[in-house]
Amino acid sequence: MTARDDIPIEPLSDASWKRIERAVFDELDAPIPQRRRAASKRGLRWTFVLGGLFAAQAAAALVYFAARTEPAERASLEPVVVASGREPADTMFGDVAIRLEPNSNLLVVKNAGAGSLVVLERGGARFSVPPRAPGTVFVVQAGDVRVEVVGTRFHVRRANGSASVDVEEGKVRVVQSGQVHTLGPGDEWPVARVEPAPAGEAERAAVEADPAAAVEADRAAADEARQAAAREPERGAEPRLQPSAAGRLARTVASSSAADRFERASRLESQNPAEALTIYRSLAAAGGRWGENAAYAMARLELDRGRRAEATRLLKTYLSRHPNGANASDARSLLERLAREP
Amino acid sequence: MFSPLPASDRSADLELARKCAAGDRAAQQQLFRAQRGAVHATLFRVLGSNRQIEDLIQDTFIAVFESIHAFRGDSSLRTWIDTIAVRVCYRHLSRREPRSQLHAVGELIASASDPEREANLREAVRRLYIVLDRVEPKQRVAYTLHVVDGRPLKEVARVTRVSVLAVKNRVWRARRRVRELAERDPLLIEFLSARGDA
Repeated sequence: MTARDDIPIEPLSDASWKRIERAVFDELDAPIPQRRRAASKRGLRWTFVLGGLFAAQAAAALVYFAARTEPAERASLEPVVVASGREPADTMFGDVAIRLEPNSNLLVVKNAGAGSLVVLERGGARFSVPPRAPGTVFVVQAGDVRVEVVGTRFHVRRANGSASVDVEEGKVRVVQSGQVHTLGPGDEWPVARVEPAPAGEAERAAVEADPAAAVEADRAAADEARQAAAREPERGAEPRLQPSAAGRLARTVASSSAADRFERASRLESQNPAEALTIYRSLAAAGGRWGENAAYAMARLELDRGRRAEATRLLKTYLSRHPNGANASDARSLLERLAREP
Repeated sequence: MFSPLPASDRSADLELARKCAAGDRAAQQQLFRAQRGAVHATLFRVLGSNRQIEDLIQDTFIAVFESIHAFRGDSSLRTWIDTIAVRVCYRHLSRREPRSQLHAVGELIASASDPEREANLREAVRRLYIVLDRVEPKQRVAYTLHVVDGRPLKEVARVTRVSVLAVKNRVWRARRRVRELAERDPLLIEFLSARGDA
């Protein structure tokens, strides 16, 4: 028997709800820096995701960690190994909440003087880390990449023997091969690159690499993009870039938040779908979480515009690249609908 | 560990989350109005009153909208938001000083036919939350959601993001602490005993 029936929820007045709703949306409408200050004051926990790591990094990481530790404390550096089976597993390590994905192993070392170190030997895990005391660190070792939590909310993903990091709030330090990179809000690491394209593909690759970032980050450069498009009307209404322009504009990608770009594209959908598509295309080309969302959004927007063939093609492309993506079920539903309604 | 959501629910949650993440104000308002009651209920159960609850509801929804792009549909949107509300509770409980008394608890205790019983219930609930102010926040959250709100251990584990075993442990410790603190309070002991919790 519970006390539930004896303790009904005391309702809030309509005036209270209106006040709360107004306060929530006023804060959402506030400039980002102000919101972040507010969020920081609230002391929100930081959450990040780390893809699978390998045991080979554990020894080096422990050496690094031990080096930060006073000799008298080193005796306490006994790693704790946590493993999951077929099901995800949740555990707490001090004040850090850890959710292990299935078939994952991790090794955690904690020292009151130096902070905490996590090495994922296999699989993946999600960590929820409250703010650290000054002078302590929370370190994640990912392959040859070390990520030091400075005070932030960010994602780390294992990718082809290395790792990628994108920062939502605050700062992180990424260390690889002795080089230190400090990332701030909206920064991604490694920086998006424009790979050399084969002859004949260069312009298309350039367009897919980046015009939207230019539109957003550098209006003058975007104008240049439009001028380039005007010089080549046979290629369609969307802005096209010369490879040199794309290469220059691509460098602005790193300083531009993918989330903000996605949001901007979403807002542009009704008034300027061509520009929205351009932004989505660049996000999709850059990959990552927002790239996946953008790839789906392109298809949805094309469908909204009545361009069913293009929408179908984009949906199939999305599903081939992200068969288990966040929008995969929606993409399949749309494809089925398109097939049913020729 | 988690039961999969029906595909249609998951799809609807993901679509709403996507719109919210994209800054669609109508979608954000829809989500706020659909989930505000559940958020309020969770916060109320843990805290025991509406004192400061407006700020905490606001904190919860700000956190929801700031991180909704990370919603992946692994659980329902409601459960996902509940985990954020619980986190806001932790933070609030961890920061504040223990209070000597509560002001609003039990003002709307379910009406009983016996006015004396009603008054006793109200007073017992008020004392329960005074006692809970001296229980460690994680244990308090587990206890209030499981014992007071009657949620299954599995659900509490889901919203607190720990194992069922950890929740059991926290509830057990909280119960023990509540019993210790209530030892000299016959009214509270009677209240807990009547619910099989003393």
